[in-house]
Amino acid sequence: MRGLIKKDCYVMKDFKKVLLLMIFMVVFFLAMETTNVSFVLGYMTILSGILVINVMGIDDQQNVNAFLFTLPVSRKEYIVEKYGFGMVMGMIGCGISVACVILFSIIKQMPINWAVLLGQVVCIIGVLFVILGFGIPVQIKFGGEKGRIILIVGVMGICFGMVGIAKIMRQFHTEWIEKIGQILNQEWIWIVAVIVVLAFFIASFFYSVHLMKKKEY
Amino acid sequence: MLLQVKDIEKQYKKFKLHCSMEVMEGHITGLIGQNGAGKSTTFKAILDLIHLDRGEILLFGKDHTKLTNKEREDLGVVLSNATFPNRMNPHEIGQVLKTLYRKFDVNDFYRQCEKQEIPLDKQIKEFSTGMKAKLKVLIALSHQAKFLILDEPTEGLDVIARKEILDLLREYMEEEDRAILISSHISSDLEGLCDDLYMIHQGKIILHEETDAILSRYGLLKVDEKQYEKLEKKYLIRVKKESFGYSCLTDQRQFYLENYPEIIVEKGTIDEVIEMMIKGEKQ
Repeated sequence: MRGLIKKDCYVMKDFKKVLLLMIFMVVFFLAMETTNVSFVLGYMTILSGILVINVMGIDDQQNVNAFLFTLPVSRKEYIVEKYGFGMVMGMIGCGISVACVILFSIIKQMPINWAVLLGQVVCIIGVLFVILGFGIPVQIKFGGEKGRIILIVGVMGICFGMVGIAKIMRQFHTEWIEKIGQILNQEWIWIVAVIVVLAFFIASFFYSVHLMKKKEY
Repeated sequence: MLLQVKDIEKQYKKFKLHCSMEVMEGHITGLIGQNGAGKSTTFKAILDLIHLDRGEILLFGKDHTKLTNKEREDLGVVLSNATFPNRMNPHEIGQVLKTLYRKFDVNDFYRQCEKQEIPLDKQIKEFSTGMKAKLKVLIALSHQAKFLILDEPTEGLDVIARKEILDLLREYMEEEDRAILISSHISSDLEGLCDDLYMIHQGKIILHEETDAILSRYGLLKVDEKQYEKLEKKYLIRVKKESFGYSCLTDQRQFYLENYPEIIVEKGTIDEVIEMMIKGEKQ
Protein backbone atom coordinates (compact mmCIF):
# COMPACT_ATOMS: atom_id res chain seq x y z
CA MET A 1 0.00 0.00 0.00
CA ARG A 2 2.91 2.36 0.58
CA GLY A 3 3.59 2.14 -3.15
CA LEU A 4 0.05 3.26 -3.95
CA ILE A 5 0.28 6.17 -1.51
CA LYS A 6 3.58 7.25 -3.06
CA LYS A 7 2.11 7.00 -6.53
CA ASP A 8 -0.89 9.13 -5.57
CA CYS A 9 1.38 11.72 -3.91
CA TYR A 10 3.42 11.98 -7.12
CA VAL A 11 0.23 12.37 -9.19
CA MET A 12 -1.03 15.01 -6.74
CA LYS A 13 2.00 17.20 -7.51
CA ASP A 14 -0.10 18.35 -10.45
CA PHE A 15 -2.67 19.73 -8.05
CA LYS A 16 -0.26 21.89 -6.09
CA LYS A 17 -1.52 25.02 -7.88
CA VAL A 18 -5.08 24.06 -6.95
CA LEU A 19 -4.07 23.55 -3.32
CA LEU A 20 -2.27 26.91 -3.22
CA LEU A 21 -5.34 28.57 -4.74
CA MET A 22 -7.55 26.98 -2.07
CA ILE A 23 -5.30 28.28 0.69
CA PHE A 24 -5.33 31.71 -0.95
CA MET A 25 -9.15 31.65 -1.07
CA VAL A 26 -9.28 30.68 2.61
CA VAL A 27 -6.91 33.48 3.60
CA PHE A 28 -8.82 35.99 1.43
CA PHE A 29 -12.16 35.00 2.92
CA LEU A 30 -10.83 35.11 6.48
CA ALA A 31 -9.31 38.53 5.86
CA MET A 32 -12.83 39.75 4.92
CA GLU A 33 -14.90 37.81 7.43
CA THR A 34 -13.94 35.90 10.57
CA THR A 35 -17.28 35.54 12.38
CA ASN A 36 -18.76 32.83 10.17
CA VAL A 37 -16.03 30.34 9.39
CA SER A 38 -18.15 27.32 8.34
CA PHE A 39 -17.63 28.13 4.66
CA VAL A 40 -13.83 28.15 5.08
CA LEU A 41 -13.79 24.91 7.07
CA GLY A 42 -16.12 23.18 4.61
CA TYR A 43 -14.42 24.50 1.50
CA MET A 44 -10.89 23.42 2.38
CA THR A 45 -11.85 20.10 4.02
CA ILE A 46 -14.16 18.85 1.29
CA LEU A 47 -12.05 19.98 -1.67
CA SER A 48 -8.88 18.45 -0.15
CA GLY A 49 -10.68 15.20 0.55
CA ILE A 50 -12.12 14.79 -2.90
CA LEU A 51 -8.76 15.30 -4.61
CA VAL A 52 -8.50 11.54 -4.27
CA ILE A 53 -11.48 11.22 -6.61
CA ASN A 54 -9.61 13.33 -9.16
CA VAL A 55 -6.63 10.98 -8.84
CA MET A 56 -8.95 8.02 -9.43
CA GLY A 57 -10.30 9.80 -12.49
CA ILE A 58 -6.78 10.18 -13.87
CA ASP A 59 -6.03 6.50 -13.15
CA ASP A 60 -9.18 5.58 -15.04
CA GLN A 61 -8.62 7.88 -18.04
CA GLN A 62 -5.04 6.72 -18.57
CA ASN A 63 -5.86 3.04 -17.95
CA VAL A 64 -3.34 3.05 -15.10
CA ASN A 65 -5.35 0.57 -13.05
CA ALA A 66 -4.99 -2.17 -15.66
CA PHE A 67 -1.23 -1.96 -15.13
CA LEU A 68 -1.42 -1.40 -11.35
CA PHE A 69 -3.27 -4.68 -10.85
CA THR A 70 -0.46 -6.60 -12.55
CA LEU A 71 1.88 -5.34 -9.80
CA PRO A 72 1.85 -6.76 -6.23
CA VAL A 73 -1.25 -4.70 -5.44
CA SER A 74 -4.63 -6.20 -4.70
CA ARG A 75 -7.91 -4.54 -5.65
CA LYS A 76 -8.96 -4.41 -2.00
CA GLU A 77 -5.70 -2.65 -1.07
CA TYR A 78 -6.40 -0.10 -3.78
CA ILE A 79 -9.78 0.71 -2.22
CA VAL A 80 -8.39 0.82 1.33
CA GLU A 81 -5.73 3.25 0.12
CA LYS A 82 -8.22 5.49 -1.66
CA TYR A 83 -10.55 5.80 1.33
CA GLY A 84 -7.61 6.34 3.66
CA PHE A 85 -5.99 8.88 1.35
CA GLY A 86 -9.26 10.79 1.00
CA MET A 87 -9.72 10.93 4.78
CA VAL A 88 -6.12 11.99 5.39
CA MET A 89 -6.23 14.69 2.70
CA GLY A 90 -9.53 15.94 4.11
CA MET A 91 -8.08 16.06 7.63
CA ILE A 92 -5.04 17.95 6.35
CA GLY A 93 -7.33 20.43 4.62
CA CYS A 94 -9.37 20.74 7.78
CA GLY A 95 -6.23 21.25 9.86
CA ILE A 96 -4.97 24.00 7.52
CA SER A 97 -8.33 25.81 7.60
CA VAL A 98 -8.59 25.56 11.42
CA ALA A 99 -5.04 26.90 11.71
CA CYS A 100 -5.98 29.81 9.42
CA VAL A 101 -9.14 30.51 11.46
CA ILE A 102 -7.16 30.58 14.71
CA LEU A 103 -4.44 32.74 13.16
CA PHE A 104 -6.89 35.33 11.82
CA SER A 105 -8.85 35.37 15.07
CA ILE A 106 -5.63 36.19 16.89
CA ILE A 107 -4.66 38.84 14.32
CA LYS A 108 -8.11 40.45 14.49
CA GLN A 109 -8.20 40.00 18.29
CA MET A 110 -11.50 38.19 18.12
CA PRO A 111 -12.45 35.54 20.69
CA ILE A 112 -12.62 31.92 19.54
CA ASN A 113 -15.63 29.89 20.60
CA TRP A 114 -13.86 26.52 20.83
CA ALA A 115 -17.05 24.52 21.37
CA VAL A 116 -18.67 25.95 18.26
CA LEU A 117 -15.47 25.52 16.26
CA LEU A 118 -15.15 21.90 17.37
CA GLY A 119 -18.81 21.26 16.52
CA GLN A 120 -18.31 22.73 13.06
CA VAL A 121 -15.17 20.62 12.49
CA VAL A 122 -17.02 17.44 13.49
CA CYS A 123 -19.93 18.28 11.17
CA ILE A 124 -17.63 19.06 8.25
CA ILE A 125 -15.71 15.81 8.72
CA GLY A 126 -19.04 14.00 8.73
CA VAL A 127 -19.95 15.69 5.44
CA LEU A 128 -16.51 14.70 4.08
CA PHE A 129 -17.18 11.07 4.98
CA VAL A 130 -20.55 11.21 3.24
CA ILE A 131 -19.09 12.78 0.10
CA LEU A 132 -16.22 10.25 -0.05
CA GLY A 133 -18.68 7.45 0.67
CA PHE A 134 -20.78 8.58 -2.26
CA GLY A 135 -18.06 9.78 -4.62
CA ILE A 136 -15.60 6.85 -4.55
CA PRO A 137 -18.06 4.11 -5.60
CA VAL A 138 -19.55 6.48 -8.21
CA GLN A 139 -16.07 7.01 -9.65
CA ILE A 140 -15.40 3.27 -9.73
CA LYS A 141 -18.75 2.43 -11.33
CA PHE A 142 -18.93 5.21 -13.91
CA GLY A 143 -15.26 6.11 -14.38
CA GLY A 144 -13.38 9.34 -15.22
CA GLU A 145 -15.47 12.14 -16.63
CA LYS A 146 -18.89 10.57 -16.11
CA GLY A 147 -18.13 9.84 -12.46
CA ARG A 148 -17.05 13.44 -11.79
CA ILE A 149 -20.22 14.81 -13.40
CA ILE A 150 -22.43 12.48 -11.38
CA LEU A 151 -20.63 13.47 -8.18
CA ILE A 152 -21.01 17.20 -8.90
CA VAL A 153 -24.67 16.76 -9.86
CA GLY A 154 -25.28 14.59 -6.78
CA VAL A 155 -23.69 17.04 -4.36
CA MET A 156 -25.44 20.01 -6.00
CA GLY A 157 -28.69 18.10 -5.87
CA ILE A 158 -28.29 17.52 -2.14
CA CYS A 159 -27.36 21.19 -1.54
CA PHE A 160 -30.28 22.54 -3.60
CA GLY A 161 -32.58 20.02 -1.99
CA MET A 162 -31.60 21.18 1.47
CA VAL A 163 -31.86 24.87 0.51
CA GLY A 164 -35.26 24.17 -1.06
CA ILE A 165 -36.55 22.38 2.03
CA ALA A 166 -35.28 25.21 4.26
CA LYS A 167 -37.07 27.81 2.08
CA ILE A 168 -40.35 25.86 2.13
CA MET A 169 -40.15 25.50 5.90
CA ARG A 170 -39.44 29.22 6.39
CA GLN A 171 -42.35 30.09 4.09
CA PHE A 172 -45.02 27.62 5.17
CA HIS A 173 -43.97 25.56 8.15
CA THR A 174 -42.06 27.70 10.63
CA GLU A 175 -43.22 25.37 13.44
CA TRP A 176 -41.15 22.59 11.84
CA ILE A 177 -38.05 24.75 12.17
CA GLU A 178 -38.66 25.03 15.92
CA LYS A 179 -39.26 21.31 16.24
CA ILE A 180 -36.08 20.53 14.28
CA GLY A 181 -34.17 22.95 16.49
CA GLN A 182 -35.47 21.15 19.60
CA ILE A 183 -34.47 17.76 18.21
CA LEU A 184 -31.01 19.00 17.25
CA ASN A 185 -30.49 20.25 20.80
CA GLN A 186 -30.75 16.67 22.07
CA GLU A 187 -27.39 15.02 22.59
CA TRP A 188 -28.52 11.63 21.39
CA ILE A 189 -29.23 12.92 17.88
CA TRP A 190 -25.55 13.67 17.36
CA ILE A 191 -24.56 10.19 18.50
CA VAL A 192 -27.12 8.72 16.06
CA ALA A 193 -25.79 10.99 13.29
CA VAL A 194 -22.19 9.83 13.90
CA ILE A 195 -23.28 6.18 13.88
CA VAL A 196 -25.32 6.64 10.67
CA VAL A 197 -22.43 8.42 8.89
CA LEU A 198 -19.89 5.78 9.97
CA ALA A 199 -22.26 2.97 8.96
CA PHE A 200 -22.75 4.61 5.55
CA PHE A 201 -18.99 5.05 5.15
CA ILE A 202 -18.26 1.42 6.01
CA ALA A 203 -21.05 0.16 3.73
CA SER A 204 -19.66 2.37 0.95
CA PHE A 205 -16.20 0.86 1.48
CA PHE A 206 -17.46 -2.71 1.14
CA TYR A 207 -19.54 -1.78 -1.89
CA SER A 208 -16.47 -0.20 -3.50
CA VAL A 209 -14.44 -3.37 -2.86
CA HIS A 210 -17.23 -5.40 -4.48
CA LEU A 211 -17.34 -3.06 -7.51
CA MET A 212 -13.59 -3.11 -7.91
CA LYS A 213 -13.39 -6.90 -7.75
CA LYS A 214 -16.01 -7.17 -10.50
CA LYS A 215 -14.40 -4.58 -12.75
CA GLU A 216 -12.71 -5.70 -15.97
CA TYR A 217 -9.95 -3.91 -17.85
CA MET B 1 5.36 -25.36 -15.84
CA LEU B 2 5.04 -21.67 -15.11
CA LEU B 3 1.78 -21.13 -16.97
CA GLN B 4 -1.06 -23.44 -17.90
CA VAL B 5 -4.08 -22.03 -19.68
CA LYS B 6 -6.67 -24.80 -19.73
CA ASP B 7 -9.54 -24.48 -22.18
CA ILE B 8 -10.52 -20.95 -21.20
CA GLU B 9 -13.54 -19.21 -22.65
CA LYS B 10 -14.58 -15.57 -22.64
CA GLN B 11 -17.52 -14.35 -24.65
CA TYR B 12 -17.90 -10.77 -25.84
CA LYS B 13 -20.60 -9.40 -28.13
CA LYS B 14 -18.83 -10.14 -31.38
CA PHE B 15 -15.82 -12.12 -30.25
CA LYS B 16 -15.14 -15.29 -28.33
CA LEU B 17 -11.83 -16.33 -26.83
CA HIS B 18 -11.39 -20.07 -26.49
CA CYS B 19 -7.88 -21.37 -26.09
CA SER B 20 -5.31 -23.39 -24.20
CA MET B 21 -1.57 -22.91 -23.89
CA GLU B 22 1.45 -23.64 -21.72
CA VAL B 23 4.75 -21.96 -20.96
CA MET B 24 7.64 -23.90 -19.47
CA GLU B 25 10.66 -22.72 -17.52
CA GLY B 26 13.61 -21.83 -19.68
CA HIS B 27 11.35 -21.11 -22.68
CA ILE B 28 10.41 -18.03 -24.62
CA THR B 29 6.92 -18.64 -25.98
CA GLY B 30 5.44 -16.38 -28.60
CA LEU B 31 1.79 -15.60 -29.24
CA ILE B 32 1.32 -14.28 -32.73
CA GLY B 33 -1.75 -13.17 -34.61
CA GLN B 34 -3.37 -10.36 -36.50
CA ASN B 35 -4.75 -7.27 -34.82
CA GLY B 36 -7.95 -8.27 -33.04
CA ALA B 37 -7.08 -11.98 -33.00
CA GLY B 38 -7.23 -12.20 -29.19
CA LYS B 39 -3.64 -11.78 -28.04
CA SER B 40 -4.30 -8.98 -25.54
CA THR B 41 -7.51 -10.65 -24.37
CA THR B 42 -5.55 -13.82 -23.63
CA PHE B 43 -3.01 -11.84 -21.65
CA LYS B 44 -5.71 -10.00 -19.72
CA ALA B 45 -7.26 -13.35 -18.84
CA ILE B 46 -3.90 -14.66 -17.57
CA LEU B 47 -3.37 -11.48 -15.51
CA ASP B 48 -6.88 -11.63 -14.00
CA LEU B 49 -7.85 -8.31 -15.58
CA ILE B 50 -10.93 -9.98 -17.05
CA HIS B 51 -13.12 -12.74 -15.64
CA LEU B 52 -13.40 -16.08 -17.43
CA ASP B 53 -16.68 -17.71 -18.42
CA ARG B 54 -15.07 -21.15 -18.31
CA GLY B 55 -11.71 -22.85 -17.86
CA GLU B 56 -8.75 -22.56 -15.58
CA ILE B 57 -5.44 -20.73 -15.54
CA LEU B 58 -2.57 -21.87 -13.36
CA LEU B 59 0.27 -19.41 -12.79
CA PHE B 60 3.25 -20.78 -10.86
CA GLY B 61 1.10 -23.88 -10.31
CA LYS B 62 -1.64 -21.91 -8.57
CA ASP B 63 -5.06 -20.56 -9.57
CA HIS B 64 -4.21 -17.20 -11.15
CA THR B 65 -6.95 -15.42 -9.16
CA LYS B 66 -5.49 -16.55 -5.84
CA LEU B 67 -1.90 -15.36 -6.15
CA THR B 68 -0.62 -13.47 -3.13
CA ASN B 69 1.24 -10.16 -3.48
CA LYS B 70 4.46 -12.02 -2.67
CA GLU B 71 3.86 -14.46 -5.56
CA ARG B 72 3.02 -11.60 -7.91
CA GLU B 73 6.52 -10.21 -7.31
CA ASP B 74 7.74 -13.04 -9.56
CA LEU B 75 5.80 -11.59 -12.50
CA GLY B 76 7.00 -8.86 -14.80
CA VAL B 77 4.39 -7.40 -17.13
CA VAL B 78 4.22 -5.12 -20.12
CA LEU B 79 0.79 -4.10 -21.36
CA SER B 80 0.44 -2.46 -24.74
CA ASN B 81 -1.79 0.40 -23.57
CA ALA B 82 -1.21 0.83 -19.85
CA THR B 83 1.60 1.89 -17.53
CA PHE B 84 2.22 4.36 -14.71
CA PRO B 85 0.46 7.77 -14.89
CA ASN B 86 2.00 9.88 -17.64
CA ARG B 87 2.77 12.73 -15.23
CA MET B 88 5.27 10.56 -13.36
CA ASN B 89 8.94 10.35 -14.28
CA PRO B 90 11.30 7.33 -14.07
CA HIS B 91 12.84 8.61 -10.84
CA GLU B 92 9.43 8.60 -9.15
CA ILE B 93 8.55 5.23 -10.69
CA GLY B 94 11.73 3.81 -9.16
CA GLN B 95 10.67 5.10 -5.75
CA VAL B 96 7.24 3.44 -6.11
CA LEU B 97 8.69 0.13 -7.33
CA LYS B 98 11.11 0.15 -4.38
CA THR B 99 8.18 -0.16 -2.00
CA LEU B 100 6.40 -2.85 -4.05
CA TYR B 101 9.18 -5.34 -4.81
CA ARG B 102 11.67 -6.80 -2.35
CA LYS B 103 14.15 -7.69 -5.09
CA PHE B 104 14.00 -4.29 -6.78
CA ASP B 105 17.34 -2.49 -6.92
CA VAL B 106 16.54 1.18 -7.43
CA ASN B 107 20.09 2.23 -8.31
CA ASP B 108 20.38 -0.53 -10.89
CA PHE B 109 17.03 0.58 -12.36
CA TYR B 110 18.27 4.16 -12.66
CA ARG B 111 21.52 2.90 -14.23
CA GLN B 112 19.57 0.85 -16.81
CA CYS B 113 17.41 3.88 -17.62
CA GLU B 114 20.50 5.99 -18.21
CA LYS B 115 22.08 3.21 -20.29
CA GLN B 116 18.97 3.19 -22.49
CA GLU B 117 19.02 7.00 -22.66
CA ILE B 118 15.79 7.38 -20.70
CA PRO B 119 15.88 10.70 -18.80
CA LEU B 120 15.07 10.18 -15.13
CA ASP B 121 13.47 13.57 -14.52
CA LYS B 122 11.27 13.83 -17.57
CA GLN B 123 7.57 12.95 -17.39
CA ILE B 124 6.40 9.91 -19.35
CA LYS B 125 4.03 12.09 -21.38
CA GLU B 126 7.05 13.83 -22.91
CA PHE B 127 8.70 10.54 -23.98
CA SER B 128 8.89 9.27 -27.53
CA THR B 129 7.15 5.97 -28.35
CA GLY B 130 10.48 4.17 -28.23
CA MET B 131 11.40 5.57 -24.82
CA LYS B 132 7.99 4.61 -23.40
CA ALA B 133 8.35 1.06 -24.72
CA LYS B 134 11.88 0.71 -23.33
CA LEU B 135 10.77 2.07 -19.95
CA LYS B 136 7.92 -0.45 -19.76
CA VAL B 137 10.34 -3.31 -20.47
CA LEU B 138 12.87 -2.00 -17.95
CA ILE B 139 10.11 -1.85 -15.30
CA ALA B 140 9.20 -5.47 -16.06
CA LEU B 141 12.87 -6.53 -15.90
CA SER B 142 13.75 -4.51 -12.82
CA HIS B 143 12.81 -6.87 -10.02
CA GLN B 144 14.26 -10.30 -10.90
CA ALA B 145 10.91 -11.69 -12.01
CA LYS B 146 10.72 -15.39 -12.86
CA PHE B 147 8.16 -14.94 -15.59
CA LEU B 148 7.65 -12.07 -18.02
CA ILE B 149 4.33 -11.52 -19.74
CA LEU B 150 4.86 -8.99 -22.51
CA ASP B 151 1.99 -7.77 -24.66
CA GLU B 152 3.35 -6.17 -27.84
CA PRO B 153 6.47 -4.74 -26.19
CA THR B 154 7.92 -3.61 -29.53
CA GLU B 155 4.79 -2.07 -31.01
CA GLY B 156 5.36 1.16 -32.89
CA LEU B 157 9.15 0.94 -32.68
CA ASP B 158 11.76 1.25 -35.38
CA VAL B 159 14.12 -1.58 -36.23
CA ILE B 160 16.97 -0.38 -34.00
CA ALA B 161 14.74 0.16 -30.95
CA ARG B 162 13.12 -3.26 -31.44
CA LYS B 163 16.53 -4.92 -31.59
CA GLU B 164 17.57 -3.19 -28.36
CA ILE B 165 14.51 -4.47 -26.55
CA LEU B 166 14.91 -8.00 -27.88
CA ASP B 167 18.56 -7.92 -26.73
CA LEU B 168 17.40 -6.98 -23.22
CA LEU B 169 15.09 -9.98 -23.25
CA ARG B 170 17.82 -12.35 -24.40
CA GLU B 171 20.02 -11.07 -21.61
CA TYR B 172 17.18 -11.66 -19.12
CA MET B 173 16.89 -15.30 -20.25
CA GLU B 174 20.50 -16.09 -19.45
CA GLU B 175 19.23 -17.37 -16.08
CA GLU B 176 17.71 -20.80 -16.65
CA ASP B 177 14.60 -20.92 -14.50
CA ARG B 178 12.97 -17.95 -16.18
CA ALA B 179 10.41 -17.78 -18.96
CA ILE B 180 8.79 -15.23 -21.23
CA LEU B 181 5.40 -15.16 -22.89
CA ILE B 182 5.50 -12.48 -25.56
CA SER B 183 2.91 -11.38 -28.08
CA SER B 184 3.38 -9.55 -31.31
CA HIS B 185 1.97 -9.19 -34.78
CA ILE B 186 5.52 -8.70 -36.08
CA SER B 187 6.73 -12.19 -36.90
CA SER B 188 10.35 -11.25 -37.48
CA ASP B 189 10.64 -10.20 -33.82
CA LEU B 190 9.46 -13.58 -32.62
CA GLU B 191 11.30 -15.68 -35.21
CA GLY B 192 14.71 -14.90 -33.78
CA LEU B 193 13.62 -14.92 -30.13
CA CYS B 194 11.02 -17.58 -29.37
CA ASP B 195 11.46 -21.27 -28.76
CA ASP B 196 7.86 -22.04 -29.64
CA LEU B 197 4.94 -20.17 -31.13
CA TYR B 198 1.21 -20.16 -30.66
CA MET B 199 -0.74 -18.69 -33.55
CA ILE B 200 -4.09 -17.22 -32.63
CA HIS B 201 -6.93 -16.26 -34.94
CA GLN B 202 -10.46 -15.14 -33.99
CA GLY B 203 -9.85 -16.15 -30.40
CA LYS B 204 -8.68 -19.69 -31.18
CA ILE B 205 -5.21 -21.23 -31.28
CA ILE B 206 -4.76 -22.44 -34.86
CA LEU B 207 -1.20 -23.71 -34.55
CA HIS B 208 1.36 -24.47 -31.88
CA GLU B 209 4.82 -25.45 -33.03
CA GLU B 210 8.48 -25.02 -32.18
CA THR B 211 9.95 -22.07 -34.05
CA ASP B 212 12.82 -24.15 -35.43
CA ALA B 213 10.34 -26.68 -36.78
CA ILE B 214 8.35 -23.97 -38.54
CA LEU B 215 11.47 -22.55 -40.11
CA SER B 216 13.02 -25.90 -41.08
CA ARG B 217 10.15 -28.34 -41.71
CA TYR B 218 7.35 -26.11 -42.89
CA GLY B 219 7.19 -25.17 -46.52
CA LEU B 220 4.96 -23.59 -49.11
CA LEU B 221 4.27 -25.54 -52.30
CA LYS B 222 3.18 -23.67 -55.38
CA VAL B 223 1.61 -26.02 -57.92
CA ASP B 224 -0.62 -25.86 -60.96
CA GLU B 225 -3.79 -27.96 -61.35
CA LYS B 226 -2.04 -30.96 -62.91
CA GLN B 227 0.71 -31.01 -60.32
CA TYR B 228 -1.86 -30.71 -57.55
CA GLU B 229 -3.75 -33.73 -58.81
CA LYS B 230 -0.63 -35.88 -58.63
CA LEU B 231 0.51 -34.47 -55.28
CA GLU B 232 0.61 -36.62 -52.12
CA LYS B 233 -1.90 -34.82 -49.90
CA LYS B 234 -1.16 -36.67 -46.67
CA TYR B 235 1.30 -34.00 -45.53
CA LEU B 236 -0.67 -30.95 -46.61
CA ILE B 237 -1.99 -28.88 -43.71
CA ARG B 238 -3.73 -26.14 -45.67
CA VAL B 239 -4.50 -25.52 -49.33
CA LYS B 240 -5.43 -22.23 -50.98
CA LYS B 241 -6.69 -21.70 -54.48
CA GLU B 242 -4.58 -19.23 -56.46
CA SER B 243 -4.67 -17.85 -59.99
CA PHE B 244 -1.81 -20.14 -61.00
CA GLY B 245 -3.24 -23.21 -59.28
CA TYR B 246 -2.76 -23.86 -55.56
CA SER B 247 -0.59 -22.82 -52.64
CA CYS B 248 -0.15 -25.64 -50.14
CA LEU B 249 1.26 -25.51 -46.64
CA THR B 250 3.13 -28.58 -45.46
CA ASP B 251 5.11 -29.51 -42.38
CA GLN B 252 7.12 -32.04 -44.38
CA ARG B 253 8.94 -29.78 -46.78
CA GLN B 254 11.84 -32.25 -47.20
CA PHE B 255 9.47 -35.00 -48.39
CA TYR B 256 8.23 -32.83 -51.24
CA LEU B 257 11.74 -31.61 -52.10
CA GLU B 258 12.89 -35.20 -52.47
CA ASN B 259 9.86 -36.67 -54.18
CA TYR B 260 8.61 -33.80 -56.32
CA PRO B 261 11.72 -32.06 -57.67
CA GLU B 262 9.69 -30.36 -60.38
CA ILE B 263 7.42 -28.36 -58.08
CA ILE B 264 8.24 -25.06 -56.37
CA VAL B 265 8.90 -25.66 -52.68
CA GLU B 266 9.63 -22.58 -50.60
CA LYS B 267 10.77 -22.34 -47.02
CA GLY B 268 7.85 -21.30 -44.85
CA THR B 269 8.21 -17.97 -43.11
CA ILE B 270 6.07 -17.36 -40.10
CA ASP B 271 3.99 -14.76 -41.94
CA GLU B 272 3.26 -17.21 -44.73
CA VAL B 273 2.39 -19.97 -42.29
CA ILE B 274 -0.03 -17.63 -40.50
CA GLU B 275 -1.59 -16.54 -43.78
CA MET B 276 -2.09 -20.11 -44.92
CA MET B 277 -3.43 -21.23 -41.55
CA ILE B 278 -5.99 -18.41 -41.66
CA LYS B 279 -6.91 -18.27 -45.35
CA GLY B 280 -6.22 -21.82 -46.48
CA GLU B 281 -8.65 -24.72 -46.29
CA LYS B 282 -7.95 -27.63 -44.00
CA GLN B 283 -6.95 -30.90 -45.60
